[in-house]
Amino acid sequence: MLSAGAKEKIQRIIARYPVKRSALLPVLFVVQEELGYLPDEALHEVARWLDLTFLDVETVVSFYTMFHRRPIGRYHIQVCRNVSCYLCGGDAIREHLERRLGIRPGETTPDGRFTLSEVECIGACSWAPAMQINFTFYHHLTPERVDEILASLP
Amino acid sequence: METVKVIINGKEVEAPKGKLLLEVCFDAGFPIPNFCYYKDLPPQAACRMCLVRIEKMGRLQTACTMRVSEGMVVTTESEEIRRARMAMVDFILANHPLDCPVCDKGGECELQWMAMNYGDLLARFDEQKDATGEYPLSPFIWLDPQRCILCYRCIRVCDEWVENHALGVRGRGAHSVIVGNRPDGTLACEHCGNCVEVCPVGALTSTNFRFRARPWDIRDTVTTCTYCSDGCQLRLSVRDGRVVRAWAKDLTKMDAEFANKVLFSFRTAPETRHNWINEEFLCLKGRYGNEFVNSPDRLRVPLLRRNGRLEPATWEEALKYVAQRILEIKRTYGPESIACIGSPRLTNEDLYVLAKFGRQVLETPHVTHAMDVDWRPFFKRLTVPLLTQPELREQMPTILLIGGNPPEYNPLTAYSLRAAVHRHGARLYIVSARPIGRLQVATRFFHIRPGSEPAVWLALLDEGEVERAAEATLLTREELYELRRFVWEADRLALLVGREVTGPALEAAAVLGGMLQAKGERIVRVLPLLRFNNSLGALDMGLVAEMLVPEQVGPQIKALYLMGCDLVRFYGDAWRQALARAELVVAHELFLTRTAELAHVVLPAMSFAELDGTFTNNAGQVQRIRRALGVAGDWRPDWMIIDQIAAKMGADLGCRHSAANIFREIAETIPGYQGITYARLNEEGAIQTERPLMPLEVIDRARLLERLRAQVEAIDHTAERLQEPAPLGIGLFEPGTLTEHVPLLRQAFGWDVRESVEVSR
Ligand code: SF4
Ligand code: SF4
Ligand code: SF4
Ligand code: FES
Repeated sequence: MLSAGAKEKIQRIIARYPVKRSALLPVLFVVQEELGYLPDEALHEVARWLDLTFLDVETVVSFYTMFHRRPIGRYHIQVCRNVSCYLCGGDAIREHLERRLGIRPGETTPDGRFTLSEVECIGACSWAPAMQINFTFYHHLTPERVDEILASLP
Repeated sequence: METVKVIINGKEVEAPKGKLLLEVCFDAGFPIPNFCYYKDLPPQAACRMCLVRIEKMGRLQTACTMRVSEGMVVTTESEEIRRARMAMVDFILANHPLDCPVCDKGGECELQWMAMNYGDLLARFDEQKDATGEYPLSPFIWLDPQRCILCYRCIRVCDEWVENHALGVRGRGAHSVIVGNRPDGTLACEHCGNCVEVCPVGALTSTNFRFRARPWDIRDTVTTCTYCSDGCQLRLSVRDGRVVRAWAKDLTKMDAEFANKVLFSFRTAPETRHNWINEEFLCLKGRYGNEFVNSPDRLRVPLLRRNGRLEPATWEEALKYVAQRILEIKRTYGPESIACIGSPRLTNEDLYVLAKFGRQVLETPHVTHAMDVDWRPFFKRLTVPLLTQPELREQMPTILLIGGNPPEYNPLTAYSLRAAVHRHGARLYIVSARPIGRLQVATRFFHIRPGSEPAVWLALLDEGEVERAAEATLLTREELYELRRFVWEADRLALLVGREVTGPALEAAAVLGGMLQAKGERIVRVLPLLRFNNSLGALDMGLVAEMLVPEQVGPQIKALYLMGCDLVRFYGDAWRQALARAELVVAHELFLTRTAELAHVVLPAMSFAELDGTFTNNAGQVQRIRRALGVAGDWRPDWMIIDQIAAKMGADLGCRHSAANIFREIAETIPGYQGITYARLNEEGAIQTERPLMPLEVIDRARLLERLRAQVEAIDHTAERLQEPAPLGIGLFEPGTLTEHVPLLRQAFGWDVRESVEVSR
């Protein structure tokens, strides 16, 4: 299921920890990077590597919003809806995104390019309103700035 | 143990250093409200109900995680704390359906109690509640996620008590949901129901009990489990003449007010609050296996064979017929032509009366019981006292298990082994021919060749035999030396003996303790993992003759008196022909078993739920069983049936119409039972019989070693180790004479149960 490179990376991560299960989160990130999401088979596999049960892995995955159990768009847009962003017009940003992309939070564009999510605080209160696309932050957003950002994506 | 002084609400209290503050407060008489705390489970600090003020600490602290240290000054009640607790209740209720009238837990719910005592009338949240439906996690267990208060008790119990690791939490925050270990969220586990037992609210419920009764319209009777020899105490809840559940709450381990006012107020006699044996643990059979007593298939009237068919008869007819036929057979063929065989599930009182009847009235030497393993040599040569479950859990830092599969056949013992490891870091060594799943807490696992258990005992007894044992067991010499050191250097040692240990090895198991103790100051206790709830009682009551082989029936044996004993099922089909050759077969039974079908007379007996009496568990502890059900059939206690037959034969067995009278006689005549009375049993719960111990000098050890060596030589030295653990449920999920009449078990495991033969009316 995984490339040889990813497998090697995972072995290196596991070797770094005295207790195998400690490697769970970094290993999951490698798998997700490779597959784009975390299907059941991947969780079974990870459980085997780390001497855990499927349930152990699955409950951890379900705790974090950054893990995806289903395929998502190439760009995962996460708009903050927490207090600071909300006060600085975060709502308008979300509405603008919904209009531009034609989808609601939780949905993916038909071409598979974008998935939109609402998230809680992403730690950018002083530059609100903010969003995160995959692992990149964008702040001091205005609808225009959002358009620019979207247009700049490869 | 180092102690510290702490001040709680102005009262100076001394406590062991490092003990949880919540427990110290509890002991000092200041109970602290809690949800996620549970005695002996790892602290969780999920509910924040236990907040207290500790001087010099900024915020209120959770008493369930705080460990006491010298000079701690604690306040458990104040306006600040009251408000904090109120907020916590409010928080927990934020998404809780407030529909207690239709919740199965209503009336015995910890949340109701907390809300009443610590909550506010007005909720501050007015958000929409997140309504979801309930659904089954397994054939035994339902989950109503919305009622769940996320205390994680169920998860911890599944991890710690039974090592099934079958429960987890999916999601986070308010959206967390308890899930099972299958990808679809259901459970693949041993179905012990302990998670249900500890759930403080109506989130987890048992299929057999849910919505069938209200706590205030059931009556509880504390009694003893009728399955394995560990002997759990349980509460049988009865409603409208039917057993509706079994549970095992220990009412001394919780807030006394909650116990008194809610769980305990009108249900049980005061002497039965504390659970000595099993704390709050029960296994699948103990919890879900009792409803055979409600079965419509129970025999309700005596049956007499007329013209080749079993037909209903009156007691008078049946008893008279039996008495007459026995007298005839005795006169014609002599007393030795009659055999009495009891069941190791019956009470001491029943078995004692059967033995007395056999010896004194029938005057036959053939008085015995159905045995799966012959433990007689073990008890004959016992050199150290038997080990009780509380001792196993609390007092034994070194534990050796040889053979057996406790999670499947002695589940309470498995629980106690885990507790010993978790609570005080006991070192547990396991020697077994196959890996034992669900005892992963073991310190060391010694994987031996199947059938080579005797060689391990040989090496333990005699250092000179290590070489021979290594060859037989496939263990290395180093491993065997390690085992020897483990045993010979221990100060306090528990030896657990599984059913694979037989013959001379079993004698060795009985003798090793004495040898160790002779070597120096130390304590050794031994626990034989017997099969049935009263296997040991049957031996004690003197049902110890050699078991018959079917070929004896006909030529020698003309009459079989069977008490609760399904020979065909237990010993195989050869008994069908044997029964056909007998001139008289009398069977006391609950159901028309394969054997009863072939009897001439079938007498309907009472089940353990309808009787008073005692069982003796594998630690030699006598415990009461108590009548929980009224009369729903024309059935009688086994002892009474025999007493009445004896009377018709002109003999008096001295039962004087009550089990208590019989027990009095047992206490006078059976070694080790002296001084035990029903009154004492009510008060003390379990009383250990004092077993006659054999002095080492009397035992011919050279001879024993010789026989043991011969046993080792006979081991098949080509057998390979078994790599796979025995499948989950190999013991627990197998149908038995009683369990196959429990509808829930039957459905859950898809047992194809033979329909009982129609009895003509
Ligand atoms: S029934 Fe027993 S084994 Fe199954 S989930 Fe509950 S506690 Fe665990
Ligand atoms: S199901 Fe019951 S025991 Fe388990 S977390 Fe929820 S409330 Fe606690
Ligand atoms: S462990 Fe044994 S005694 Fe306890 S409930 Fe189970 S079968 Fe009964
Ligand atoms: S009992 Fe202390 S936090 Fe739950």
